[in-house]
Amino acid sequence: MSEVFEPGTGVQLKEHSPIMVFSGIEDENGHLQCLWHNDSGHLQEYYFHPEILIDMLKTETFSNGMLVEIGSVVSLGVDHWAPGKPEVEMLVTGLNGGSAICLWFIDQRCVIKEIPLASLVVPRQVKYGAEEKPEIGSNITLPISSAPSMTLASIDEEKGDCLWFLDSKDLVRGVFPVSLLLPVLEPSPHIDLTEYEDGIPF
Amino acid sequence: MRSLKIGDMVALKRDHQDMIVNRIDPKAGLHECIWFKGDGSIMASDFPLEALELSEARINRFLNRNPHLKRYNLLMGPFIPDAWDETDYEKGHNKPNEFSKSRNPYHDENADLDQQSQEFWDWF
Repeated sequence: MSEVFEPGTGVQLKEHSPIMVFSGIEDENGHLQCLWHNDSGHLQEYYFHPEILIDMLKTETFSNGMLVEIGSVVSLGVDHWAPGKPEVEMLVTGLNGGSAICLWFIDQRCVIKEIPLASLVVPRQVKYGAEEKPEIGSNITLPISSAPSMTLASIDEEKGDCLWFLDSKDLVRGVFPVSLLLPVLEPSPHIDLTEYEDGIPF
Repeated sequence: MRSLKIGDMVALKRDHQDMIVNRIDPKAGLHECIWFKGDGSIMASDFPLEALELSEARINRFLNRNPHLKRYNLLMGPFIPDAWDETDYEKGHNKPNEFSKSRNPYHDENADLDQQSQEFWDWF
């Protein structure tokens, strides 16, 4: 374990670089794995020699005490501190040892990555899951801002097979835990109030 | 050229992209250099020592060819003050207090500095 940085610490190169988070993982040569999102939202990962890193922000600055669990909406803690950089919300769909399986969307395409828990914070915890399973053919989404509106094509036990079209008209398929799927609320039928007087139709 | 060490700011000879030495493989004689693109993505590549030079050496060469320019005036760009050796000051290129003034964005000589910095970049 690094003697210099705590897992979850925000770090930066001595020279200009994005703010990154130390995941707690070291390679065999003592280089530290750091994670960050680029401007497009792609997760970047690299191992840096500790001598070229400086400590920017302490772990406790990020943590709000909420645990990462399945269904948590998480982000890299450092995203909150990068000026002008939009936070990339990720949804935890599984846990694997010391890592969380996170998904998010870039240009409506699903990205799934395993990310060490120490790198993550839970900006909000949402209670998921409709009491009833969504119906096949219904319009569903996932509770992160980048998620597209999808059609539920089939349910295989606890997994839902979801389809959606990209702007380029390519058809994409994703399989997500049913308990994380949210119904897309259909907009209310439009009522033109100019046709009414005191709520009563002319 | 002296051997490179971790954290050195270097560039390929005949190029001006500053890179940082992140790993050295002494057996293979390769230096892993990293740099960031404008969108926050990282790039990395391995280079032999012969292909690299210290960014500082590049500046020195430029100053030797352009003695009318002052070192600190070039530092308005992406260069890091810590990279400069105290002995540079002793050579009369500039004084530390002059340097600190040049970093002040409200310094009166900004227009002159910009021009000199531009001359440096045009040199490449």
